[in-house]
Amino acid sequence: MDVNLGYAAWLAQKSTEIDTLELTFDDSSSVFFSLSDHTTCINVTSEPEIQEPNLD
Amino acid sequence: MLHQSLRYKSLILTDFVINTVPFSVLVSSRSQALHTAVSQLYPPQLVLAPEPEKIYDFCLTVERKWAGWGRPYHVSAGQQHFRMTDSAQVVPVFEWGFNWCIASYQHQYLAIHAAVLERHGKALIMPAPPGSGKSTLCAAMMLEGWRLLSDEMCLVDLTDGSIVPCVRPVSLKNQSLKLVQSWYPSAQIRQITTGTTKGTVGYLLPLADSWQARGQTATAAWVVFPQYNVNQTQLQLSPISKADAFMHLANNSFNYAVLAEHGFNSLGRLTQQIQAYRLEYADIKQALSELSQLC
Repeated sequence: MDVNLGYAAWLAQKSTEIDTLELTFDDSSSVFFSLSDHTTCINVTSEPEIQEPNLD
Repeated sequence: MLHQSLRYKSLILTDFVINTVPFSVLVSSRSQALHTAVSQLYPPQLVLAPEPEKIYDFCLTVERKWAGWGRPYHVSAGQQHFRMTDSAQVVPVFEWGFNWCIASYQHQYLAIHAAVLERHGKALIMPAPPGSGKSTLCAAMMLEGWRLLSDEMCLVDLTDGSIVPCVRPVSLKNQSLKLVQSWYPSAQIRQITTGTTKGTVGYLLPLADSWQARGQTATAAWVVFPQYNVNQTQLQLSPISKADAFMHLANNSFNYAVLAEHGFNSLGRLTQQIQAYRLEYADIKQALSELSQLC
């Protein structure tokens, strides 16, 4: 039973990996795009580096 | 691009073409007044007689459906109705119809609702909802020497990521008409129309260098989300994360959802190459100075 559940979870995870595009920017923030339902979302767990404006 | 039923009927004397880059629009209209007004807004070399053997990107019909001078004009593209208007407001409704065609029917570019200006080959993109002061700021920047790419539509080339100009007259509304004219007395504002759904609307003519370079693309370098706030005591320019900028840009896009994966990849490439800020200001001179230092 445990083995079956584990396999199902693995399948779901693989499916998510294949169906989702991830873009990680150079400030470490990132966004996801679902190829299955075409939704876009921000990765709330990433911590972007905020830099001050480059002014004289 | 659209079904061009007009090709199969005889063109009439008041039909004309606006051949802007990258789009051309065939205007079928029995209104000589519209042709005259458009000729005040666009350079003469862009307002042309139609050629039946040519295919134009869009066909806009501006005509009265029934006889009689009291009948409103119907603005439509092919079988798609856009809006009705009386003759006094036909110019702004026509311009909005042109915007509607670009936003609705072209998908070779990722289109974002934003003003775009260029300096030294680099583009500043300013997406913002109505009421944020985007067009006023855009007008002032152009009159301060930036090259105008568009006050309404940021077009991103899906193949190389460049920003494609779509130079048109700058739409100014209500207070901004008087403000821009008072700040820049030589600014040429034409076709002021009162009582529209957006209030009083007028059109600032782009400067000659913007028209002349209308085919010259630029590289995206900055995205600034402007917000005019009369209660703002001190200008604030705050950096925002690229993921936040991406989401705001996607929300301001007309066809991000249509382009799906292509839109995601294109917008991702653009976001990677820009610096993104939120600008809150009350004094436009401060805003101009800050943007001049930033860019």
